[in-house]
Amino acid sequence: MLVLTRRHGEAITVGDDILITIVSVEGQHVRVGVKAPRSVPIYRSEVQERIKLENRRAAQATQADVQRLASVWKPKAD
Amino acid sequence: MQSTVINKKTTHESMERIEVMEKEKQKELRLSSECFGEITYTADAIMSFEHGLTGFEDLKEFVVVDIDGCEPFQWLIAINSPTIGFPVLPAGAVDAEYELRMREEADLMYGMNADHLLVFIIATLPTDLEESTINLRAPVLIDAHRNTGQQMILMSDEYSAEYPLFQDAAVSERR
Repeated sequence: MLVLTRRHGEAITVGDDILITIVSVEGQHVRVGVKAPRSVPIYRSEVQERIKLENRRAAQATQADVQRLASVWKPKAD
Repeated sequence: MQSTVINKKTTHESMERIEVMEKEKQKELRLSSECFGEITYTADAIMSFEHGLTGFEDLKEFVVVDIDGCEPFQWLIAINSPTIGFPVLPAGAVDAEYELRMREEADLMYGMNADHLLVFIIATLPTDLEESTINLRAPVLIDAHRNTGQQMILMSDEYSAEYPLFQDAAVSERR
């Protein structure tokens, strides 16, 4: 991993069109600004971990579970 | 005159070729799974997921199938690992406004064509089924025209990854 030292207000460029700016530093908290094209998804890393976990949990479902759930849950009629 | 005849013949041949290709696409394929029994699908139902699903990056090909007694739920099943399946709901079955917003989001993020776009929501079923949740934060997008799919993780945290399925009010009113 590349490690760079940056001060408040300084930035890092990634590729041609991603700009990461250190907006502010206060004690343990660093505010980071990310400028990137709309097609580049940006999230806190824990969000991706959260979705991984949720997908793993979802994949545990059995046919019988879903059949039972389908017998009690119906889509709302619009 | 001559060229007209040749053109006709060529057109006829290519028509035949297209018919063969169409038949190939419609051919019934089967996969057996310990979990789901025998599943039949057609080649044109195979959706390729270039990035897999989050946490399942190795799974690149899926089909969405109906399994008896599961409606309105469907299953997103990995063709190469048919023991792995995700129960999904068409977004429209949950909330029409949510579906509309996801279509807009897919267009903004990926330029996915809204006309052929299907939006599915993955459901998580715990032991107590009343505690079932749906993942509104990361819907599955399928482009039925290009036979591609992907899971879109929303950047904003306004939708929950664990939204309770049993809710009275519409999703868009109580997020």
